[in-house]
Amino acid sequence: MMISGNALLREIVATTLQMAFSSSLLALLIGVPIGVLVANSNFHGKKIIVVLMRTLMGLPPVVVGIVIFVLFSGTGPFGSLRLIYSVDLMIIAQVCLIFPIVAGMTETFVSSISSPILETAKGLGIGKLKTNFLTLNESKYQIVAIYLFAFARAISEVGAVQIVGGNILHKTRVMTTTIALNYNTGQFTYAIALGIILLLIALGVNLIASLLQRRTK
Amino acid sequence: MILTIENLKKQYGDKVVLDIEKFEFEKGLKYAIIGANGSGKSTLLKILAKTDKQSNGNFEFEKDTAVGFMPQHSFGFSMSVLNNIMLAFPLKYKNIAKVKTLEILEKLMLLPLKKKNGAHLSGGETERLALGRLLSNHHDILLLDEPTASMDVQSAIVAEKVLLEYLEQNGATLIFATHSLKQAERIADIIIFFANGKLIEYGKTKTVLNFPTSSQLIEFLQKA
Repeated sequence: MMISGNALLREIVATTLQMAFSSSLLALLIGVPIGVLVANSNFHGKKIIVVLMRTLMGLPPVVVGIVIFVLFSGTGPFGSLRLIYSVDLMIIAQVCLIFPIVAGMTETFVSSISSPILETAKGLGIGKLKTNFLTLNESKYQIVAIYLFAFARAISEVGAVQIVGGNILHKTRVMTTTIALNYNTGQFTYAIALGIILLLIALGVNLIASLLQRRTK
Repeated sequence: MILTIENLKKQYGDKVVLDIEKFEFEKGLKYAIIGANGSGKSTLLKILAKTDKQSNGNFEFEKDTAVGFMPQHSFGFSMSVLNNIMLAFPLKYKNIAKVKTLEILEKLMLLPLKKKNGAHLSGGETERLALGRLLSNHHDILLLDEPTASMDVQSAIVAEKVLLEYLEQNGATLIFATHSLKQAERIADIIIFFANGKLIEYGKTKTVLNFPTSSQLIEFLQKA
C-alpha cells in the first residue's frame, strides 16, 4: 500500500495535508503576534494574561471538539454557517487548539530575548510597531521551530477533528481518524502503515524547515 | 538647563539603589558619571532613558529634547551592519540614509564589516555599531552607559573622536557612565561621583580628580 498507493489513500493524505498546513499556518498568524505583543508590552494584568495563555496551551482536544461542535451544530449559534462535518470546521477547531500553544511558546521565547532589543530600540527612538517587527526578526529561527511544533500537533491530532469532522469518507476523513477507525476494526497493519506515512510527512516538513533555517542564516 | 532631577529614588525592597535630591544638567556640557559597580550609574541612565520606569521622583528634560540612549550591553540586530545603522533613520531621511550610513561606518572603521551580520560581531565591534547607530541621528542629549567598555584602546580613541565631533556639530549634551578615569578626564567637563546610589561629589573634571573632598571619592581614586 505504501509503495503503490491508491486513490483513497492519496485522497486521505491530501485532506490531511490541507487541514494540517492551513490550521498550523493560521495558528501561527494569530499566535505569534499575540505572543510578541504580550512579551513586549507592560500593562496591568499582564501576569494574569500570561498565566491564562499558558493554561490554554494545555487545552484538551476533545473538549475543544465538543465546544466547537456545540457552537456550529444545527442548533448552535453558528449553525446557520453549515460548517459541521467539514474540513473548514476541522481547521477552525485545530486553530483554537494550536494558536494558544504558538502564542505561549512565542511569549516565553520573546520574553527571554526582548530586554536588550527594547532598550536599544527605545534608546534610538524607534516606535513600538517597528520594535515589534525587529523582535520578530530576531525570533525567526525560533518561530520556524514553533511552526514545526504547530504542524506536528495539527497533523497528529485526532480528538477534535473526529468530533467536528465526523470522519466521513471522501469528505472529512484524515489520516489520524483513519488510523483510529482501522484500529477499531482490527486492521492493525493498515493503521501502522498510515502511521509510518504520517511520520514520513513530518520528517519531510522538518527537512524543508531546516533547509529554510540554514538558507536564511 | 536641559535636564533637572529632583528627589529621584529607586529601591528594591528595602535596598535603595538610587537616591538623588537635586541635580541640574547644563546644556552643551559633557558629564561623566563615575563610581564602583552597583553605585547607581546604570540605574540613573536607564531611568532617564525611560527604559526603567519603576522609580519615584521627578526628572524633566527641556521641552522637545531629543534623547538618545546607548545601553551598557550593546545589541547588534540580525541584519547587515549597514542595515543596522540605517534602521535608526526616520523614514523622511531614507533618501540620504545610505550616504550618511557609509560616512559613519567609515569614521568608526566599520566599513569593511558593512555586509557582516550585526549579531555576529565582537563585543568591541558591536559597541562601535551601537554608537554609530545612535550618532547617525540628531539628539539633543546622549546618555551612554559605558560606551567603550569592550573596545580596544585604538577603537575607543576613534570612537571618542567621532563622539566629540558629533557633540560639537549638534550642540548636544553628553551624560556617560564610565569605569575609565582617563576617559572621563579626556572627555568630560564635569565629573559626578556616585556611591551606594547617592551622588557624593561633583565638579569640574580636574578639580574632582585632583582635589577630591569626600572620603569615599578619595578611597575610590586610590583604588582606581
